[in-house]
Amino acid sequence: MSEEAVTIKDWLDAVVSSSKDLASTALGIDDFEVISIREDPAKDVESAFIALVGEQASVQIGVASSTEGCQQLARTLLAMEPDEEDLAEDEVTDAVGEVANIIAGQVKTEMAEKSISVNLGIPIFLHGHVKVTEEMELMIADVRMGSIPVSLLVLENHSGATPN
Amino acid sequence: MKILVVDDSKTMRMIVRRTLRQAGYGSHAVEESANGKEALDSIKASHPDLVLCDWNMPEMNGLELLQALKAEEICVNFGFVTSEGTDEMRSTASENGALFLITKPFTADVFQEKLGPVLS
Repeated sequence: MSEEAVTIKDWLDAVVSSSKDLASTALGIDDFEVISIREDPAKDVESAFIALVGEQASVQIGVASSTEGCQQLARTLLAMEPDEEDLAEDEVTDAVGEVANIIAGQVKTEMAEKSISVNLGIPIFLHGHVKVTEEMELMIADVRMGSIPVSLLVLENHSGATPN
Repeated sequence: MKILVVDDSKTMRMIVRRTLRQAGYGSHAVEESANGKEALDSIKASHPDLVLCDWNMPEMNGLELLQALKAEEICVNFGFVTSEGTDEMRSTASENGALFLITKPFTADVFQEKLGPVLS
């Protein structure tokens, strides 16, 4: 496949596929459903983003949910018992960042098979909503991992510059 | 035996510890470092039998750590546990002396398969 053939939808499909794999392995959740695909920015959420940047592509992959959803995601990743206390904010941030990191790693591997070479950045955690500029394109898959609602985001930078 | 887990994510260090227990290696002593630089100091000080190291970390990444160990002629069993697993990275890891590269997410079975020959 040529690099021109890889669209933002291809990136999102790779993210969804990796997320489904992560849900069944790291989270022990086989009940994974894609609710909707949209292009409008998410409302205020907690998001972990990781950049995948190379000569042929510059995208950021995001994993977003509500504060409660992020807590659930982190607790599930850590296999915590229901009676254990909620995680502190920095622990949730670290865990959701690691979820984004694992997904991004699988996406990188999948894209390498399509001759798209990218390097991964370090996860960053954001509170709020995504602002899309004219040089960017956004696509979001709203999914459900068990009872946890999660939005998977791909933000593609068409300027060729490294996203920040 | 002593195992050093190197990852900038505390969450992932906890998951690696849990998976070690699930894989039957719970009796081994486990130490942690948050990046390659910390790990290099720890390896020099405590001489672990096995290093399980993330690739992508701030300060000093996993590959830089492996190359630093080689440059200083420090012999230690070294394997990557990382989210990235392209053919190129596997080749690079192997060329630099890594015994294996485990990609996240992983299972206890994979740990048994890769760590077994080192820890048995």
